[in-house]
Amino acid sequence: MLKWRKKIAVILVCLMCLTAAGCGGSNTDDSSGSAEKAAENTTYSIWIAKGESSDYYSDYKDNPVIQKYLRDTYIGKDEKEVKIDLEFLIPVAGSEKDNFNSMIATGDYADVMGLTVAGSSVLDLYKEGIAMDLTGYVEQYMPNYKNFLEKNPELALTATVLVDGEKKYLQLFDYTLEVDDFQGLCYRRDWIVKYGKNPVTGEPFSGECTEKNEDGTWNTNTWVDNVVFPNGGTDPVYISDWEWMFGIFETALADLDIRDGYCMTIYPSGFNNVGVLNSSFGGGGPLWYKDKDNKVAFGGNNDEMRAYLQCVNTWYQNGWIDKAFPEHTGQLLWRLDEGKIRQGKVGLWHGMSNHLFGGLDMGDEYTKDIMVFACAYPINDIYGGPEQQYKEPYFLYRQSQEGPSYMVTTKALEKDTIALFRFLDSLYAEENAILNGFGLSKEEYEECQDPFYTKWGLTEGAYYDSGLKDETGRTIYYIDPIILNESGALNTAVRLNRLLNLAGSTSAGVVIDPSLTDQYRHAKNLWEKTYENTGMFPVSFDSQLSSAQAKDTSAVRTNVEEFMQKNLVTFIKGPKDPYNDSDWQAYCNAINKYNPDKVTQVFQEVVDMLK
Amino acid sequence: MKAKMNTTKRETGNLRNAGMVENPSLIERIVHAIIIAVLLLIAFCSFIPLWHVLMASFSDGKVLLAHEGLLWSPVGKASLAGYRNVFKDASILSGYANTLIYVVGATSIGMVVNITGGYVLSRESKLRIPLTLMIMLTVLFGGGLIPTYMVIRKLGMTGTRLSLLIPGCTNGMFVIMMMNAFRGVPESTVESARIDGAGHLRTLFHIMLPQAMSLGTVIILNTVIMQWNSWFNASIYVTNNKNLWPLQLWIKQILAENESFLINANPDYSRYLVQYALIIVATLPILIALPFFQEKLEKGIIGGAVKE
Repeated sequence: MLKWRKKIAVILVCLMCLTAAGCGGSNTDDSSGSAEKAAENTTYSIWIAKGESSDYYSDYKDNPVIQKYLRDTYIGKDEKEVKIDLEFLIPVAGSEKDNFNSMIATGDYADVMGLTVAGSSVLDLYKEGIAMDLTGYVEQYMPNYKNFLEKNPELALTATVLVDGEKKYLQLFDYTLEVDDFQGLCYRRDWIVKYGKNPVTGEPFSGECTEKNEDGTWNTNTWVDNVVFPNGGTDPVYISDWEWMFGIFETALADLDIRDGYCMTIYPSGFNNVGVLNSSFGGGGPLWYKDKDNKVAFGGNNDEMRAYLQCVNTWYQNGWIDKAFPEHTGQLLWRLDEGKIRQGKVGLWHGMSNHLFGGLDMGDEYTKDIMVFACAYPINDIYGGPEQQYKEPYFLYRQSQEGPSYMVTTKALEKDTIALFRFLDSLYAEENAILNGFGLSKEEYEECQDPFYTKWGLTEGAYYDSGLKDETGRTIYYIDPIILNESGALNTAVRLNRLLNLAGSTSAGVVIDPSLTDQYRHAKNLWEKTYENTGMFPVSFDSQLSSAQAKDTSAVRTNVEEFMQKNLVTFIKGPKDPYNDSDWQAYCNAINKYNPDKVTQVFQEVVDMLK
Repeated sequence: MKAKMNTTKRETGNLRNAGMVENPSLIERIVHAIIIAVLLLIAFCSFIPLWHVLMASFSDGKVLLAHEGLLWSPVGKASLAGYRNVFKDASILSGYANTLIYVVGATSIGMVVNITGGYVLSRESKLRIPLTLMIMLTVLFGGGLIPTYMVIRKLGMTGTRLSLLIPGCTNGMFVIMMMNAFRGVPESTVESARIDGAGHLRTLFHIMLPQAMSLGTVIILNTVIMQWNSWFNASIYVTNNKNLWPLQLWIKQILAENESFLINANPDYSRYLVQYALIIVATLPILIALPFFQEKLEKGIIGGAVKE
């Protein structure tokens, strides 16, 4: 026993000594970078908030598109050819903010850093000497980036920041040439067919799938029916169409004896700050928005908000709205009460593209033969006055062409910055947009025999020429079926999805999913193209605020939003009544105490400055 | 007869003190029944969430998404798809291996520090009070994330296993606990060892440690559980060295990677099972190991340090 204790004691002491010896060990994670001046080979460090799943590759440098760019050389300082290498620094999911802040606070930051989780504005980072002034570099070495901004003046407005009266480029944005929304409003078309009647003739509807899949099941993308809405069209357009639908959904729920179902749910606080149903009543949003004349307004206490509350209050009293809607806190807008939706007990909801058509069919009692269609935001034609009726929504929750922004830090000054900016600019060349947005073509793959593409069987490239042209004469490319059939994230792993670039179909070619039916394209168009999203401020708008403006507005915005989150529910569920003038006036008086006009004024100053 | 009855009563009294009662009264029976019922309820409440997670991990992902309420059996077609997703690549196995290294390494280093530190602080000396105060200070105040990161970086430990072994191997509270455990050892036994010619090491390992080891076991188990569950230090110090990531960090990463699978037009619903499978994968080893140490843990917590 004594011998064993001695042996254990000796082992433990050795461990201690090993510890002491290891203290001066090599630091493989030191990203402070080399202070060597530019040479033929230069490594730049890039911090991005998210990488790809480890199912595909752990180091983002192994991304096939990045590998293609790294095979090229770039002209650097003194017209030397520089071979670039990249070191990607990616934080653990959930600790992006901590990681970013640690790097900034310790001075241990990368050459290029994404700003999605930055606590300070890029202007503040510039004033602290962390973010570089990119103006000279953009003007001289980034013609592709400038070219894109010239073609897109709306995006160019917020690409620069006003510093001491002068517009400067302090950040570079990730841009896309087209948007692709995965979420939007959905409703049960099969209930309309089964329980509804033509509003004019009174005849029952009919609907069915017209083609079968290879396995003999019905191809739900081929559904056709003869549904007509009160507006005379095949899709709901107005609030009156929605109320007509809710009447049918009530019948369906009663007939199916679904006691815990409902026609529609709404966001737990009674409104969502990205607009959604709110913008149907006059067009603007529930908080700050800009109208078509670029006049900034506050929507929290206007007649449009009142009309919206009157509508939803009426729906709630009619039993059309989910009684438990305030309980869905913490849930994403497109996954509110998802369990009920997937059980087939809901008539209309804010869903996702995988809900469409037969996506929710599980063969059980309420989802068998389900048929889900998309619809656009409705236009109010019932509630409020003329100013709140027949106005198309223009404050919409949509993907934007403008993505996250990135700063180049002063750390990069230790290296060949010219080569760096030339490399970054190559990511914005329009001829590379399809490469960035979809992946390698067959020719590009054959040139490099990329091992990732080989491993996944993408020897024909990520897309191929269909031999067809679209109506504008663009070549139509089809996405490879291997990518379409893979249910993970292969479609992002094959392309450049995590770094700033310009991506998407171009004037020369358009890349599409060949399996998409006209029905599906119509659904996506309803989500993406029905109205123009001119009222919402872009994400980059906040970077236009000076430190003083940000400070002035931040507390007001927070207080106003919190106040509305607590009070708007009472107008929907009770005890307050949006039809009662004194209740409404009391709410307006209370919200005005937070001085939302101050924010309106500041935002207007910035909007005027950007014009 | 009377004498026999008295003896029986005394024996019964001793048996009562020992927790075993023959012929308990009605009230005692009722109290026992209530205690057992409450403990069963607590055990049931503790067990049910684990059972729900276990059943969910074997369920059909698409059906599970639509399900509401507790699960008593897998819903839909039972499968191992969740576990297949988890063990698809070597990440989880690498995480297990690293976690074992950190658990064993940090616990060993920690015990060396706790034992030697506790012994030094338990002996009377001029520096005892200042040293104890210094250690107490670290218990009350911390430098915070950024200063700690800067110290670790300055010591050259970032990006290496040492950044996970050294800072997390012990803390001031454990050293103080060992100090108190050693101070609870009767001084007479220490003195008699000294008289017999024992030096510090022999006194520590042969006389004091065996008597203080019950609390030492508690510290070991706490360190093991802390190290098993730790991920934050790894996320700060070895962010880019995935081959050094512990299990919990891989779990966090895999969960985040699988969060947005529903955005796909054609999602793989088995990814919804990943979160449940990961809970089982991470918790099962501790659940299996803990019963073996339960007795020691009980003795350590309840026993105390007084031996006389």
